[in-house]
Amino acid sequence: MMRGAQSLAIGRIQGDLLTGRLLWLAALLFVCVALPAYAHDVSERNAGYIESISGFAPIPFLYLGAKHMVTGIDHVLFLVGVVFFLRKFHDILVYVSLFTIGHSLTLLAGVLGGFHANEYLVDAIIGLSVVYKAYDNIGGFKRNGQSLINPKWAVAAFGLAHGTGLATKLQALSVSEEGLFANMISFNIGVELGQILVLVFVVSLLNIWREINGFEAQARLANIALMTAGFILFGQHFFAFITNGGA
Amino acid sequence: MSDAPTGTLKPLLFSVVAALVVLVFAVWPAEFGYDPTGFGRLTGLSALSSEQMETANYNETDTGRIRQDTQTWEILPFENLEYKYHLLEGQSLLFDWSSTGDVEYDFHTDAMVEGEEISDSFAIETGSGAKGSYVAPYDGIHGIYFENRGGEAVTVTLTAYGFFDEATLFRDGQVFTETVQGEE
Repeated sequence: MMRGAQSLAIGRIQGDLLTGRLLWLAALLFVCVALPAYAHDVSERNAGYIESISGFAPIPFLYLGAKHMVTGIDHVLFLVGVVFFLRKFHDILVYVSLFTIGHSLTLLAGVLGGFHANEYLVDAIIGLSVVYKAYDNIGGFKRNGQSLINPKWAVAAFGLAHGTGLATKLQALSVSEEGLFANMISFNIGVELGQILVLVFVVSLLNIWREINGFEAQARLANIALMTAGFILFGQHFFAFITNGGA
Repeated sequence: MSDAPTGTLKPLLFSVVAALVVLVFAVWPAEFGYDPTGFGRLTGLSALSSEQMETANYNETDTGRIRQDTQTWEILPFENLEYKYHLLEGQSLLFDWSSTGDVEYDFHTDAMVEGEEISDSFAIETGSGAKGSYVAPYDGIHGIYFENRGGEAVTVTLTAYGFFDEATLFRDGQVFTETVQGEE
């Protein structure tokens, strides 16, 4: 019994140390990537570069994908909502995989198929995805202990919207046809790397937060704030859609 | 659809209202220049969405004609001189000078602004040449002071283009103001 308790305690301490280190690493990487590139849209300088290159340029596109994910507040907020109440690594893996499949599908199909969605409308839907997840997190879709909307399907479906958004951003850069496929795959891998970076940071912080007293009440407030942010994103992009005549 | 669970509708409403407030008071004026409440103009948020001109140093002037002026002086050890162009506010000057040895120089103004004598320096340095452009911030005389602190005489050659009609040379405690004879 004693030995068991002791090794449990040691395991706990080691776990905390590991979490702490991971957190520092994530914070460091986050700052390194986010600070020099603080802009949601691929910035003008990057755009100029992309237009000037033709052919296979894996590393720049990898970087742009990661940058877009890390600095894109809409993607980050949605991920925060998705993993907010996920404690088990397995659950996180399932949900994130569904999201990844969703956004990869539309990113690839959108760019390769030359399918142009309205950028503002897509961004508005992405805002709604944040609203959905936050409202789901405070139990808004619960009826008699059952969820009205299957959360796994919802995350995959909103993943499709996020992927369409990524595709429109990439298409807006008038990427050269040469090496398009390989470059887009690089961009996609970059998106996933950026996503992992964001997740390590967010999940580590949430794990620490859960240990603090009063987490339940704070979590509710945080999700209400998240929902508000989602509505703001939705309103901003929907207004842009209206004022730009849906062009 | 049955009612949402108690305790979730209020937050939903709160979120919508809070988001609307932020949108109407901040996002609309700052991002779209749409300011139905006047809050954007009051707080300066609307300025964020106004079209910005490129901030190049583009200046137009409606006075004077463009002229060229070239001057050469020999400056003895511990001697100094000052050569300034008469420019009106907004008139520009291109200058290029070089010296056979290092000199102390000071690009500055002398002017009367609202009855007050003012002098502003834009460069106080040591070197054997400088070139660039300058736009007069106010009416007055604008130019360079040279001082030779070395042991040997130096020759300074200055070429300038600009909208000046006159230049003034300050040397040996004397003031020579002359009409610039350079080509128009």
